[in-house]
Amino acid sequence: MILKVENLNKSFGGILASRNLDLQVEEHEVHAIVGPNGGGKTTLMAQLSGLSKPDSGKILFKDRNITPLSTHKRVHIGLASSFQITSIIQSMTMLDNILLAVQSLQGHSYKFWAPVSGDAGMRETALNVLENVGLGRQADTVAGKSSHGEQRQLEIAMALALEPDLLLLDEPTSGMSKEESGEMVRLLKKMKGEKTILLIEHDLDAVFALADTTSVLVDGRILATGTAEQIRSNPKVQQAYLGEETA
Amino acid sequence: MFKFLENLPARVYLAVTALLAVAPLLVTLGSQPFYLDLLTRILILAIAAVSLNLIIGFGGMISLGHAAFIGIGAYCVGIPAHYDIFNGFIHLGLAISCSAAFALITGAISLRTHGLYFIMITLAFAQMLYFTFVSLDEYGADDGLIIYQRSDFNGLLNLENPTTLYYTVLVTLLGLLYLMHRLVHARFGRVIIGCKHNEKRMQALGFDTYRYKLTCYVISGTICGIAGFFLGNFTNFISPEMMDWTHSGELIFMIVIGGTAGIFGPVVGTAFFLLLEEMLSGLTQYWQLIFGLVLILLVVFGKGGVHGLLVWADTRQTAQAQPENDS
Repeated sequence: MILKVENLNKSFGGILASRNLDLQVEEHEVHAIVGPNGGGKTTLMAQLSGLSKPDSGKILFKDRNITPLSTHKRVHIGLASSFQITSIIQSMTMLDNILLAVQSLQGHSYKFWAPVSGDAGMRETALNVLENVGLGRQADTVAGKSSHGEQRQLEIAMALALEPDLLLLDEPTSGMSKEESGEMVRLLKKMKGEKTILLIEHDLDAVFALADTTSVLVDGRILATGTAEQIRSNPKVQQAYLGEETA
Repeated sequence: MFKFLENLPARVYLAVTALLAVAPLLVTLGSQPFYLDLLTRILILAIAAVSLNLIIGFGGMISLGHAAFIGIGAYCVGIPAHYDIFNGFIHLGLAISCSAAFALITGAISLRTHGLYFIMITLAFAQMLYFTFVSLDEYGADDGLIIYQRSDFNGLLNLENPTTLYYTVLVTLLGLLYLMHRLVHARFGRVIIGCKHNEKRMQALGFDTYRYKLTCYVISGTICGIAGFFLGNFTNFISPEMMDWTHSGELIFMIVIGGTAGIFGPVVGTAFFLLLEEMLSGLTQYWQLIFGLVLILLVVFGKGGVHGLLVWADTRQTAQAQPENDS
């Protein structure tokens, strides 16, 4: 078990976005979290990545309590995340965006003299990452000028470049066309079995195509966890979530 | 090797540098020593503007209190001189360490905030320092102090000679520009630029953004303290007025006019600002009205400042040249 969430609570004003939330992610699985809007998916992600702190409860990553750790520290023990709202550096090229991640992985950046562009090793590593996500040809394209689908791919590539043990993906297919979405699913499928991925996803086709395990998050807690088949046939889930979708 | 000369901004900046290098000769030939004074002032404030541009243009930290560092640097010349200590190494050492310390303390607090709050808190710290010196009667309070002798570097440098002072400042500025060039292309610079565009993402990439920004702020403040050291020597006079917030505002104008995207932009901006001020104030006593108008027009229509304009002209030129090559 790579990630264990115990009794997580988080409230905003009077609204409980996480209530006694328990979650377990096994190594090398793709674990999807689905659920209706307002169910607390984004809040859970924010607490896992360190952007917000829980009111109570514990987050254990590789048997280590990471609840008090800030985002940047979590990255260095192997927990990387990508955002639902594309958060690439728009004015930099695709390659430069990835180079930032590579640079982060190589220890501190209090280096004031040697130009990054002169580091062939870093460049090669970054190019490899881009190639893996199918952006190899766009390395020198300014990120902000590429298509939405490519920007989403870059978004995920930046997290991948951190070589995480657990990759958190917040709606990777957000705002994508059907085609782009299919491309993203293919890309994520390639990583299946090698990487541990925890993803939030709205597109249920994508979820059932990708996930080994699916958890349904309703009203701040996990309603059910299981394989796609188990989830689909679970009456509680049908009532709370899938029912309204298919109806 | 001279490939960078293919780009228009680089050619213009090289020409400006060459002009600055021979300026004392021209001034002597034309027997207009006043202009050497004006140019020295431009170069000193250009050092301050370049340092401010490091945090504003590259780091996205808009500070409205940078004149405080000019004041600190100048007082580090004036106060020792008040006690008959004229050793330049002591003056410069004090200027560097005091402005670094002030930047570290105020930056550590200011950088906990963002955006408008950051602007306000840097302004507040600068004004605190201003009023502190206004209340120090020992050092002339409001009226300031006259510095009777410039910093003495054991005879290595005679800053009393205007031409020597000019070249010392020029070499410092050029050295600083080279340092900036290395810095923004090095790992540290990339992180700072990333923080300007998307700090949250930088954290998600594993960077402790607060520390990087604080380091950047201290570097900037320290360099500006060196500008203050030169200004104190140049004017032979210090007063709290040097750190007044209006001067911080002027520095921002200078870098906006010159363009924040480049390293050299602030130098051109400073020259433009001070030369225009000089020219207009000689024409009419209502010069500030015209000055303000020109500044507004520049900010509204000259997006990206002089540097932006040069880059724009350069891309247009290459775009026009391209089809001809094809045919």
